[in-house]
Amino acid sequence: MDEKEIFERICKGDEKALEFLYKKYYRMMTKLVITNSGTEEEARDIYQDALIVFWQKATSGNLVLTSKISTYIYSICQNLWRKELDRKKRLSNEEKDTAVSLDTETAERDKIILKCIEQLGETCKKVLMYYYFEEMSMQEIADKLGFANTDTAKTKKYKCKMKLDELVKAQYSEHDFLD
Amino acid sequence: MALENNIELLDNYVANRMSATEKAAFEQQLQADPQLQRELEIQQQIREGIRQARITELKTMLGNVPVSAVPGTQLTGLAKLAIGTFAAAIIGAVAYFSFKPDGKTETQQPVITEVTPENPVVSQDETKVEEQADVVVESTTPDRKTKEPAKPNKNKKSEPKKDDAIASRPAIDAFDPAEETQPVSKTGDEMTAPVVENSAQAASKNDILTAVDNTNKKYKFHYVLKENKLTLYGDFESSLYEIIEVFNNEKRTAFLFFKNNYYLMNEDNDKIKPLTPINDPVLLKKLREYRAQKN
Repeated sequence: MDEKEIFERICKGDEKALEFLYKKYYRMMTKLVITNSGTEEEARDIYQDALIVFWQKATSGNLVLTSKISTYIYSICQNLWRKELDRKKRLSNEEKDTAVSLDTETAERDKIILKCIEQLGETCKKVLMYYYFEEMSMQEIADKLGFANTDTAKTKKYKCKMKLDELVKAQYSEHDFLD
Repeated sequence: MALENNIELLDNYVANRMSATEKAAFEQQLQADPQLQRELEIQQQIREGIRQARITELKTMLGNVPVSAVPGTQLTGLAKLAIGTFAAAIIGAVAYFSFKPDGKTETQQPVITEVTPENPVVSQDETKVEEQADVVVESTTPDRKTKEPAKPNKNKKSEPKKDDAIASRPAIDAFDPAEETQPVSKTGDEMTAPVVENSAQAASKNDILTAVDNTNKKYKFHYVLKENKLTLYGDFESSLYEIIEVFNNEKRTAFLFFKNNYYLMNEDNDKIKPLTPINDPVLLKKLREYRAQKN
């Protein structure tokens, strides 16, 4: 599989191509973090995050690749690791407490939403994820999930989203998050 | 009512599916409508939740992809050739340590057989990748070529082999992190070419595929080694570990080096076994000598 093919397959949301890419550059990318005072776990984490950034940009059609895939991912890894090192530095100073208290309500809301997503069926989850994360077109979603046409995909997405909204709002009102 | 009419617009806005003009118009509308603003906030949270859920899903998927152990800590084929001469002595020490002068004749064997089992492993690995990705792994082809020239060296004499291995040692260190960080910190395509090649080379040098499982509460410092697949259970992220393979009469003995201790790993069955540090001073000395020489 050459660069072009990998990229094309990733743009189409082919997860096998993503796994292939992950394996291919695992050593190169994790080494960047490990040799810059990171642990292997941190290295893996940064590499996975970087690859997902790349994946999201590619699947959403927002990426015109002007360099090699490895160059692109490597630079994301570098940026992410730099950010992480900065974050660690800041945390080791005194900002830790304020950051934690500010995040409590957001974390609570995130938890509620995740719980609601878990209550959806597999197809619903996939439709919404492809729509909001991969930012795929309705045609692509229909192709990926084997729907007859884009209208089916649209209807499915609409119904799944309504269901999720309903679940989230019910939970929000229980937790007094709604005005 | 106004909100219901705007639901679709709101969704397009949140899902990043609006043109610049539509976006500007909608933002203007937003400013004048507090109810719409509140709904937008909720919709953005939901969208963020969906995105986070997907990121977690993708990360889990990637986390399950088998990858080789810590970069740079595994031994290369050439390094194994170098330790081939120690093989009989080390294996002998495990069973019945006695460092005889005629041990040299034994040491010839592992060197001859050492590379042979390696090639099937490489091809197995390739097949696996092909199955998974439906593709041909281009990067492994030149790599196999680099391995093949090593075969003619597998003559029956251990002495020249040792020399070969030692003379070729710089190649072991070819995968130097500095070589990677430098080129890519610059920009431009040509810079990455050597990086990619290096990584491909290094990737195929491993026989034992290692995975770490630190989620199992029952097994805190255990391992299972079966058919070139090693799973380490416990907190192996805190320090670098190293897999040392020693070949003797086509039989491989694998050792783990972790936090200044050496562990013998049996591959006789697929039971999860605890890791016990080697205490035999003589064997430890041999292993240390080997590592010192390697580094």
